[in-house]
Amino acid sequence: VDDEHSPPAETVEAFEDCLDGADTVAVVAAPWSGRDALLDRAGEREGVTERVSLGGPVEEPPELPDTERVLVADCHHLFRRAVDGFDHLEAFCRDLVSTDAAVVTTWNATAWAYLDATTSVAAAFDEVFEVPPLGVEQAETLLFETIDAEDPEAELAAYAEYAPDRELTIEYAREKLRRLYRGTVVDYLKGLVEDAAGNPRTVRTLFECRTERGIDGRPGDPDVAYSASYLLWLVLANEGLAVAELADLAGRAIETDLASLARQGVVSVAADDVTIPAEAFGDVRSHLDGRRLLW
Amino acid sequence: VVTAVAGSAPPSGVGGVSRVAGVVLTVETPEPESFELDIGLIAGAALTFALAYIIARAAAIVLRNASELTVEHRIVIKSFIPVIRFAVYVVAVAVVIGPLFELTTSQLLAFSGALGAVLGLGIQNLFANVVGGFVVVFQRPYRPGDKVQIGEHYGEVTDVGISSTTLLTVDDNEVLVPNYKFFTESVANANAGDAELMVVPEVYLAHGADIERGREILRDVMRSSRYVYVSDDHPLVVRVDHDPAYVTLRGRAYANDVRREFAFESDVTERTLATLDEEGIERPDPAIAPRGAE
Repeated sequence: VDDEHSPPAETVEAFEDCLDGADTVAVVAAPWSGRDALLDRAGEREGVTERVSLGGPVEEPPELPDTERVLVADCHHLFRRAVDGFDHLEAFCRDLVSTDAAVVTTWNATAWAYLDATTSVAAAFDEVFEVPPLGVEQAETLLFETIDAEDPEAELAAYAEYAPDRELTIEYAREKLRRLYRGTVVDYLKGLVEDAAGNPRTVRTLFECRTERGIDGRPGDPDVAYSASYLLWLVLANEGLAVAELADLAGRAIETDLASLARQGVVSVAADDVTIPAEAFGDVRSHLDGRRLLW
Repeated sequence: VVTAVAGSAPPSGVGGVSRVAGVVLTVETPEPESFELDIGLIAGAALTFALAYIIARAAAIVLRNASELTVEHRIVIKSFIPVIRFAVYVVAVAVVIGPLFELTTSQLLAFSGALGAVLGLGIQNLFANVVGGFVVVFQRPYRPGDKVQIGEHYGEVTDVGISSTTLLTVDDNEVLVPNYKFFTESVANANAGDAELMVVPEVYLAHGADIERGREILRDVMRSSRYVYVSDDHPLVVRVDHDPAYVTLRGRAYANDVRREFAFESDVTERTLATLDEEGIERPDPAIAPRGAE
């Protein structure tokens, strides 16, 4: 998925420390949580670096180039939840423990949790770096960065109207939010972060829905059969799938379930690809957790 | 009450009389309050029990609905239903029989005798069931939501009542098991309050078949099932047993919800057999394999 998010400074700092002490690292994060930015960071280190991006289901496990550092993005595409679907992953892990290169890999958090339970994938890495979900303060910083970046002059005018003789600062923006929501900023952001399950893209999307469009933005808990919930898991763990691949993994016809999920706003089907919209991320996770599909 | 009466005879109904220096002292003992079983008392008791029934029922409905919102905490939430029900009924009984504690010794003896006679005459089973219900609620050998085998019945405990436990069997039959059975029958609890439940699917291979490949297939099928639950405490295991006539592959894995026990088992068995057949891995003659070979 498109991931332009840059994680908070403290997360980047912790990641740098992690790289210092390990040769093989698995970066585990939810979609849109800054995996690419962390991989870029690893690529900026000294030494010859090669980058491999899986991008989608793979026919063969990637060969690790003979170089100082290898960055492999989206390793959750190394497995299919099916018979023989773990072979590429197991071959990759065998290569990993025998290579001399420093290898930094990125993984979808949902897929990682499943794989770690069923294949003990974490044992192949020196370190597992889990990108934490956003907290309230981080969400606040993210939102104000967003506000500033979108239309600074308009925002400035809005703030100026409220506080004409003051400069634009976080404090004045906080006051603006306080006016808007008649509650404390912290309480509002707590609710926002909870609704978004701490996902940066979801936080931003829900914020935009609530401030600009005046709607809640969340699709709500989908009322679907277990078979449809499992489709949701597949889409979440793979960060999007083609309809045919989804049907193949489900082992049955999926049109009815897919239509129901799309109608309830928890998946988007476009150009034969099924994805989870950013605003639905929190509700999807909560739904799958209730069905015991998230471990 | 002490009444001083000078030179008069004691009135009737006087408890005791003494004469001191020409003065008669009479001591009146109070009449014991009569305990009359009038229509008002019966109506009050009926109203109390009706109210208790409504409260217990409402609490059960609220908790049952709340429990269905989450698989993980369903059994925990449901386990409060019988506890609340018993507590409500205990309070109701205390309210109704409260006046009994004000009885005189002779009245209490008469009541005890009557109660003994009633028990002896045929409701001892009901009494045993109620006691059994108390034990089930507080010792918790099983709770609503658990999968249990009581006697010949296997199913999900849907309710623990005052006198009986309700099981929903695989055939969708509701079976009422008297609570006293807890004292007389062995009770097997498959999940003991956990949301997940172990399932042991078995498939059979012919001697000479590729056993290692069969084992891989069963393992992959189990871990890729949509119903599986795996954690450090709930690992996947495949065991191979060599019998004289066939080889048994016995999986052990957990369904993520006790209610998906049979869906999980069917999913694993069907997909394993289909893959074995696709790959031409030989299975034993159905006549000699116990099941799963057909």
